[in-house]
Amino acid sequence: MIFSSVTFLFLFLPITLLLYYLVPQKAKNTVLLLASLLFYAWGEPVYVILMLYSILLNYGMGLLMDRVPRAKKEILAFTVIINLLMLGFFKYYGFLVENINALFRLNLPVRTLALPIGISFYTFQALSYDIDLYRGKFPVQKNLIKFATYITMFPQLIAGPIVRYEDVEAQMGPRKLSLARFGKGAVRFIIGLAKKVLLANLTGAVFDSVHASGAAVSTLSAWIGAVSYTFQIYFDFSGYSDMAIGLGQMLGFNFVENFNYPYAAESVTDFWRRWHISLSTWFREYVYIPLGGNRVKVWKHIRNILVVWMLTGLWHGASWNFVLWGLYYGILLLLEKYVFLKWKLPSAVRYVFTMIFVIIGWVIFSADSVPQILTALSSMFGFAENGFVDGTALYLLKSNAFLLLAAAFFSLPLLKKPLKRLKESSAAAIYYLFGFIFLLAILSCSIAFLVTENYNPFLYFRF
Amino acid sequence: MKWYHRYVGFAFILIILSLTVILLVRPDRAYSAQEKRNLAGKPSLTIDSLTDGSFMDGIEDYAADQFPGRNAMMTVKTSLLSLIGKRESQGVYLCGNDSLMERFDAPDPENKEETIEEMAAFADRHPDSDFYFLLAPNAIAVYPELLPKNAPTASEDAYIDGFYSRLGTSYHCIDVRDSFRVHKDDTRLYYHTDHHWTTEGAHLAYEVLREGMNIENRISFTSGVVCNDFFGSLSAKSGFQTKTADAITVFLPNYPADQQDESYYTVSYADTLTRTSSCYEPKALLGDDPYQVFFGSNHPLFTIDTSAETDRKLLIIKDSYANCLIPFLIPEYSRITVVDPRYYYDDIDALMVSEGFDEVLFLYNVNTLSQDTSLKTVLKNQQ
Repeated sequence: MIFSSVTFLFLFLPITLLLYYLVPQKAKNTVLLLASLLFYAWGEPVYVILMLYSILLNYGMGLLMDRVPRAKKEILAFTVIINLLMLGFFKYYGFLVENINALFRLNLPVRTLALPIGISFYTFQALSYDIDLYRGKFPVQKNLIKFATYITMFPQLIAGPIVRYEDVEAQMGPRKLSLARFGKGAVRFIIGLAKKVLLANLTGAVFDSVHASGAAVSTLSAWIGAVSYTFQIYFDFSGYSDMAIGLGQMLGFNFVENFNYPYAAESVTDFWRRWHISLSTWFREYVYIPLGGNRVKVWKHIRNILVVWMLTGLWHGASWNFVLWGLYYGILLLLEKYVFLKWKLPSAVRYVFTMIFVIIGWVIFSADSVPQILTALSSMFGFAENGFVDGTALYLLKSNAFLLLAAAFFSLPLLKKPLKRLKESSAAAIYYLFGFIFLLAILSCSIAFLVTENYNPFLYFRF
Repeated sequence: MKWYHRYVGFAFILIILSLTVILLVRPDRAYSAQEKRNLAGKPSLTIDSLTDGSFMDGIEDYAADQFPGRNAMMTVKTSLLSLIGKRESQGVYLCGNDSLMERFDAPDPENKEETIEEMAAFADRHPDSDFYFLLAPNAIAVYPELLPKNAPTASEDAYIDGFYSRLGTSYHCIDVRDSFRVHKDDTRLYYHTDHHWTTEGAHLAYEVLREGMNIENRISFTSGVVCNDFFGSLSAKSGFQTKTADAITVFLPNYPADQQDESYYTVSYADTLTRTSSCYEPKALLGDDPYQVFFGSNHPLFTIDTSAETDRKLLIIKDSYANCLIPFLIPEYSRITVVDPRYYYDDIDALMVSEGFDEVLFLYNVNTLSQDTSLKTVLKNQQ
């Protein structure tokens, strides 16, 4: 099930919330677990069994590590390997066989399995539990329901954020609930829903129409398409995270933040501190630092960065364009660290270059194949089939100028300071009044679009 | 701060819960008059529909279609879209002259090729009949100047030319485009809010067709408006609110006094086993699709038996564009059989043999034909 659907918003959510608030504190995790399993099974009626298997495996191995401390290391290694094999088999098997076939001119049968939605998210959550348990950061979780609830929690199950067990361990017990907390979650959820349904879907439709023209575009169209995708992926992904964090608050959880105005970044390094924070944190904690991080010789640091970023790319999908995308960022980050950031350029220049690099990154990311990356980039940099500007580009620009400007406005923290000042001033009533009206308006519009619009893509089916 | 969040929380849960309750309690609607389509009903729950996920998709469609205030939401959505400068919704452009026109999307070349091949093979199998083909352009090809500036659309002319150049040997291709472009400012050839041509447009097409099919100009027609509050399929599909409603006219034949007895005919519908003495269904004018005044809805097969003093028998294979053109042909044939391949599952070759048609007319509009896969299937039917 996805958040931006009528089924979720008007059947699943109200019923789940009612049950969750009505049952006594002790039964709340059970309700949440059952609801989450239904939530997952709704989209993956078969693969829900795989998720249950993963829960039992990691729960059992945790208990075993606790019981047999001297074999802790071996048990961890075994658990990590099984988890990665499962992820590898369901996510990368087809990709691997295709490449082996191409490389050795073989004809091994490619069985393309449908990718279980969210497998990358819940596997990474389980791994964070296993590894940090081994590191002794917290005691073993003996309660299966609590453990299963942590893995399956529907707010973050299919599109993150990747919640590390360390961060929610204390919250698995009784949680404080109140109408004010619920309302705080509702504010966040409404904002996330509007980001997804209004901004992401509308900019996504612009990208799709350019994308569908293939090579037959002008330079201006190619840029409009790339910029539209840049906004689509941000509002879609951060919208999902907002909805997840909001739903978490409604249920009494505090999840980590996942986005912090990434398009306000003044360097690529800065961008990755603001984009999909929970994923970068995961890779830093469990791959980069164990490899030695940056406290090693330069060549080893370069190796570490490239390994981590290739894996980060691959995490986003079993396809070469994601590997290239990851390496692209690895190289950019290295260049920044060792070259660019020493140049002390004015911030406007740094900002423009960062955004251009980010947009090129999304072109690589959104392509269906490697040759398509080249087509799209050459269209953007002056070698477009339809010249610099054509009629379609002017039409796209005219009918989407307002949308793209609005998207740019909301992706930057332009209102953050003035609103904070207004909230703390004597005219705070205006802030609350308009805030309330604004939230109601965007909720109504989101529902209207959700009910009547068929275009509602889910971008994370390859994650 | 806390009080504010309490208000928001309360409002949120109130809105969600009340909509949920209305959604669950309100009786289902089977049909939407505004959108002119059947609404999704409850999906059936089976092991298969559960494991392949079609039950879950069905629930989503069902809930969205039955959602309280769906019509108002459609209006909210399209108003918001036009407010931010969008002139397009669901493939429909909001054009000049307060009119709506459907975008022509690049057709699937494979489907086009297969349709051409089956049409040619069909004509070759029946060398005793004369074959005619009228592929009508849509409004977008005749009135491109009304489109939003630079609005992208594929070329209908290229599509029509593709068919005509390939089928020219086995079909008499009737090209109405020149005539339409000459007369496009004199009269309204297409509805402003519907994807069909108007009866005036069909009449103009008939004039071209008449010359191509050697029909002498024996009977004249007088037109009259039968409906002037018609909001058609494009309004429904796009949700755009246009100010002016369309008018539907019908053209009635003026038989000379001494030929009055030739004016009678019967229409027999094979699907409903009904027979009427008129090609008009006045009841449809009160319903929500007044275009159905022509022969009711689309039927798989119907036959018009006339009392015209002729033996000519005609088969028309068509989409709904033909519905308002057929009345012009009635005075000229003793029998007209009309097949709509989208709903027809019988053996068309057997029909050809048993009826011995003198002439066969294929009448389609570009948009329908380019998305249609039923014509080639029906023609391939029997070898």
